[in-house]
Amino acid sequence: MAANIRLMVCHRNRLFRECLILALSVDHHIEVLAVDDPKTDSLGPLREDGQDLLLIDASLPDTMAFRLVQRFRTTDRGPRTILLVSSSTPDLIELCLQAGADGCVLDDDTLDDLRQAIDNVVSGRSYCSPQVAHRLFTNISALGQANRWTALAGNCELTRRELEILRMIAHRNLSNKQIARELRLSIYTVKNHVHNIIEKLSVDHRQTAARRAVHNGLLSEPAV
Amino acid sequence: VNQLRILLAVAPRLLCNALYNLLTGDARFLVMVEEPQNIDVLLGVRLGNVAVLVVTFERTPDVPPLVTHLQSEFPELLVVGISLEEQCARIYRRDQRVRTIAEYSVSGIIQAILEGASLCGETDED
Repeated sequence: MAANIRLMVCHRNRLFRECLILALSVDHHIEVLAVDDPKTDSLGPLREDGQDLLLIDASLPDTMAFRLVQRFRTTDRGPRTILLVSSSTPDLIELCLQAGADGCVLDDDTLDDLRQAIDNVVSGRSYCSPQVAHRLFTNISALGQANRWTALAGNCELTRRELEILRMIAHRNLSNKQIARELRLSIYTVKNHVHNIIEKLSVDHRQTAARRAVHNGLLSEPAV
Repeated sequence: VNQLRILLAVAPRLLCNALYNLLTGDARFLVMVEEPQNIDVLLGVRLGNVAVLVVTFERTPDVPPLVTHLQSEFPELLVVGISLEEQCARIYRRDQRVRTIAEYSVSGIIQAILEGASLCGETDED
């Protein structure tokens, strides 16, 4: 752990900024150098002062947070950056990390989480709070599933009849027997179509196939 | 020494943690924490024999319903309402009009707590 961490806090809310500075100043190895007004362009001397760390409110106006991160990202000796993201604007998390921040902490994390982030980042490592990591994993997982489904649906080559039956299941929740009656097919033929749908879409149940087909827009075009 | 019993019901958690650290560093205060949900705050005030409630509101209208309810049950309760969105803090006392704390800062809030509690006879200002 670094013997002495120098920290500057850039937060647009005065009370929040003060509380963080005063609470972190209690730690013997953290020296808070200044209370900065992020509205002014007073960060110029930072590199010359050799600041170790910037804690930046990600919701600063005019995308200032991202500009600050990018600005110091381009220099080897510039301060490292931790972004503080409001839990009410979680969509900023990915933007922050894309900008090149060294750490990311949520305002709903604890003070101990923030201390951990500071220690990690100053030691040259990255830090992502457990809550932020959870959100990222969830987003990536959802994205992966959507991509997988899109690729699958594109390649599955459902026949016109299979799409018609899938639509009847999805939109009207018809049973095999009802579908057979409406389409004037034997129930065995319908069962065979449903089996093929389940196989082609790699799911384990007709309702799962129907839900995913609706969710992913597979049934949005009427069968011709 | 009679400590002033303060209940913190502040969000987000990072701000709450930081405020808690600061207030507990002052021997005049005994600080408790609750989630800033109405029912938790209500129970916290009831069970904690609280003199001062520090609570965050999304916006601070003249008198939030929670404050009205609490002060009807506990007329001596001093409430400090913080609105991060509006960047202001207000004092609610039952026998006075709502007052905005002049300085939206840690020291401003502590001073308001001490003054308000002193008027309620909870503590002496030294």
